[in-house]
Amino acid sequence: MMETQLVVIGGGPGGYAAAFLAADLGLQVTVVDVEKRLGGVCLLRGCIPSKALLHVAKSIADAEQLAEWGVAFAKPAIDLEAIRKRKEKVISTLTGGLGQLAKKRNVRVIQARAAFEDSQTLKLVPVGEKALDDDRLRFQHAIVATGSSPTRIPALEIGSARVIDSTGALALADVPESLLVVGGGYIGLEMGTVYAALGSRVSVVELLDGLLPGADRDLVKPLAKRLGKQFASIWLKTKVVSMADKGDSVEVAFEGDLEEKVQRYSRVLVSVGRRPNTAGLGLENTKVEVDQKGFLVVDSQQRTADPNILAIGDVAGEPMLAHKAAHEGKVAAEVLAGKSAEFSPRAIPAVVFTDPEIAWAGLTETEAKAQGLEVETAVFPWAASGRAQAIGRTEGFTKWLIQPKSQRVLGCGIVGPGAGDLIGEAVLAIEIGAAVRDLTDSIHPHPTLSETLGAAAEVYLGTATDLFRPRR
Amino acid sequence: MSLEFKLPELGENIENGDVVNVLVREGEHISANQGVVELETDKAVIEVPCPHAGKVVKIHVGKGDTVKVGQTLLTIEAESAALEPEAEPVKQAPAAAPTAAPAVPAPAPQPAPAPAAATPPAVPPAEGPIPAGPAARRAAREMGVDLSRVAGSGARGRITVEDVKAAAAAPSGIAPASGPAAPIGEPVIPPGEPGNDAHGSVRIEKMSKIRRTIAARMVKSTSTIPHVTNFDDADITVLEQMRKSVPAGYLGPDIKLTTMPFVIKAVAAALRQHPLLNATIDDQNEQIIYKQYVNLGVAVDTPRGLVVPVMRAVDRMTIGQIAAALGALAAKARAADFAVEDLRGGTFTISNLGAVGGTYSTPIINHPEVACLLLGRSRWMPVALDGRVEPRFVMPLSLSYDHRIIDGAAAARFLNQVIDYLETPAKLLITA
Repeated sequence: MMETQLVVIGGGPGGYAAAFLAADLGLQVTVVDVEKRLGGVCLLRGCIPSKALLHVAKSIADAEQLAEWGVAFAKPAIDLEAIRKRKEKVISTLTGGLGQLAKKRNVRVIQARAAFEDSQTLKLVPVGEKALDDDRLRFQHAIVATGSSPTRIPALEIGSARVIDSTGALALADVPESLLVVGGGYIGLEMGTVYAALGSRVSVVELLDGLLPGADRDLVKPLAKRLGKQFASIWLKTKVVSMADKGDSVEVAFEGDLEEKVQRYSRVLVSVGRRPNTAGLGLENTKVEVDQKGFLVVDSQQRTADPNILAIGDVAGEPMLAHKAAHEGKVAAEVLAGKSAEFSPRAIPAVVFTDPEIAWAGLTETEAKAQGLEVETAVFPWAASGRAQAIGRTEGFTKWLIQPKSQRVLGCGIVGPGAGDLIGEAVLAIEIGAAVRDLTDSIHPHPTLSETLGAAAEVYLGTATDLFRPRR
Repeated sequence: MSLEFKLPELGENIENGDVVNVLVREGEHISANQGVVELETDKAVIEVPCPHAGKVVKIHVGKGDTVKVGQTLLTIEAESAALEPEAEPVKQAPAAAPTAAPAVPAPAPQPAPAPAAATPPAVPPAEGPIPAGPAARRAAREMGVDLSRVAGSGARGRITVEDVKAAAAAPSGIAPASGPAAPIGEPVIPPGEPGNDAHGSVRIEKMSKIRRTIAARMVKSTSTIPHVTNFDDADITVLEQMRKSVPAGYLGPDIKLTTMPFVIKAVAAALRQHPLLNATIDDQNEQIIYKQYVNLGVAVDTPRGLVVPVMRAVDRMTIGQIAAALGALAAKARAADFAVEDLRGGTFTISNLGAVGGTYSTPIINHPEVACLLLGRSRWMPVALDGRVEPRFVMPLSLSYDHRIIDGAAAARFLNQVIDYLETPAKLLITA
């Protein structure tokens, strides 16, 4: 029987972060993953490839926009095979790097499917052709980092190759003439953006009455407006009742406020959420508790009810984000190394990588309202930003949520190109309990979009240079 | 919500205390920062306040128990001012709102969630989030410091890691017990238990925390430091006249001018010129640390035992200021009204046995200091001066020193300097 001090089940952003830090802290670590390569969904079929494709999409859109600047490009010649290869290069570079890092740290990586036999033993089942040295792994501690998978809706599982999920979308088999995106969340909108840029006629159908439920409504508006022009249709409060493969297309039946209740599409992308991967792990042979949604129940030190087992990332609860997984992974590693660590961030940022990007961190206006908290908002419209004007993208804005008594910042929301990069400053500000003055008095470089963070803080004080909005 | 109040950090090296008194009852409603137990630590009796208001559900400790830092003292049903959201089974963060599925018949197309809203761990308190970043919060967690009681030294009240460390060293907010429960003179320690041994009847008394600590420190000092003691005399006839010439009440209504302030001043001035006796030995790194400040510990005899509160930067105080500080210090020490912080940071210790009697002795050095001075009772004695025998008022001095770094000659030179100041107080006036 193989033995290890720590086994990390899942080599995604949470798993490898935990494994590498644990190794750095002196533990003997083994990672078990069903894939041959490290990186998990994030690297292989998620965050990274989607950002590569969105980079392509944005560049195409930016080139088109340049026409108003007097530089006109002809319609681009799109070589899908080249795009796929280039995307794959990004993935292989990064996953290769992870493999190197694992080697350097003496982290053993085993490709296998794992299930708990008990609280100290994993049963390993080989994946693919490679045989295993041993089918059992004894461990002192385990970190479950098995991640999540796209949610499946039985009614929409029609066994058709034309109906795909996010993995299929990223595979970029072709550019469908028409694409229906079921689900107006960030995955659907990001993929829709990619395909629209490549030439598909994209439609989005969403059950709730707004895109990106969870984001403040004001942040979504500029995006919805732009998507309204780029997508063929966006239907809200609308449900997909059934689908049927008609050979050359998929026939979709809707229920909602739209004229044509039955329409045909070349492809349908179903992106209605993700579910934690807890089935088939043998958790019933351990003391680990699983809640009704399928998440493993953990405390702020990532411990489950089983003293030998910790859990991190998507499998441990919302928000299902790679950076949340990575930080939880590090906490878990430190906890096992005997250090005092806990996962108690004040802000976990969220980014939607559409164009414009939307990013938020800390308290949102929606949450503040729901909890009846007294907060004030300060908004700086990018139309007043020199840089935004210089790049011809003035639809965005930056907003702070501020606690009136202390004037400390509780939350931030940004919409506009690069919002995902700008939100980092806001996360730091919220974490350290920065006051409005800390932001106004920190010199932001000019002319940049980061200035809008300081400017929005100035709006709160009523003294924004570039916007006349005196405090009432 | 139910909270466990654990014994907070009490200060450097203090890991536990003995419960002298439990000040609250189960079922009682307490207000924020109300004292809940009285704890005797190494050197002081302190009252431990609970920062939460609420109903005491369970008291986990009793009188006489030894409790460790971090140990649960009470379970309290807190009236939470900090609006913490209804906790899920274990995670503090409320579940992301967007995944709330609308009521649709199964199989229901699930709503597409946005990247779930960044979930704040707990709603910030009404006055705003505590201005401590992740590094400071981590330090606070590791050192058991309650951030809400730390004063931040950064801009706009920001709490730095250094602030947290400083708070951990000082017993932040823990007020010393205000005065002894019984008037001075009555034994504060419970009377011993009668018993028998092989040879007759005995009375057994548990050693108090302070006593145990003093004992341990004595063992440490004597087993670590090679002690040598130099004996000498200071002719303080002139000094005594000078002291007596100061009208009563000159320094203030309640301040007595004894010989001690003069001795303290002389020692402080001498230490500045003989820094080796104002140092400490760092064994681990094999180095001598010369303290650039002069903090004198003054041994005070209290009903609980010997206590050495520290007077800081004594070299920069006038004799009058020293006299005033001494008075306050002694009063506090006898009333057991001092904080553990008051006992820290000394560089040299002076013991005055004069009030009690005796001449010379071999005092034990207060590790990690390297020297200490004992004053005996000053007495009139015949002294030969210029071939004649004259009555002179003489103070006996005993200087113990750490022979690892201080040689006999160095010690003698220091003592000569002290004596010189005491015998010719004009020098003290001019140079100190």
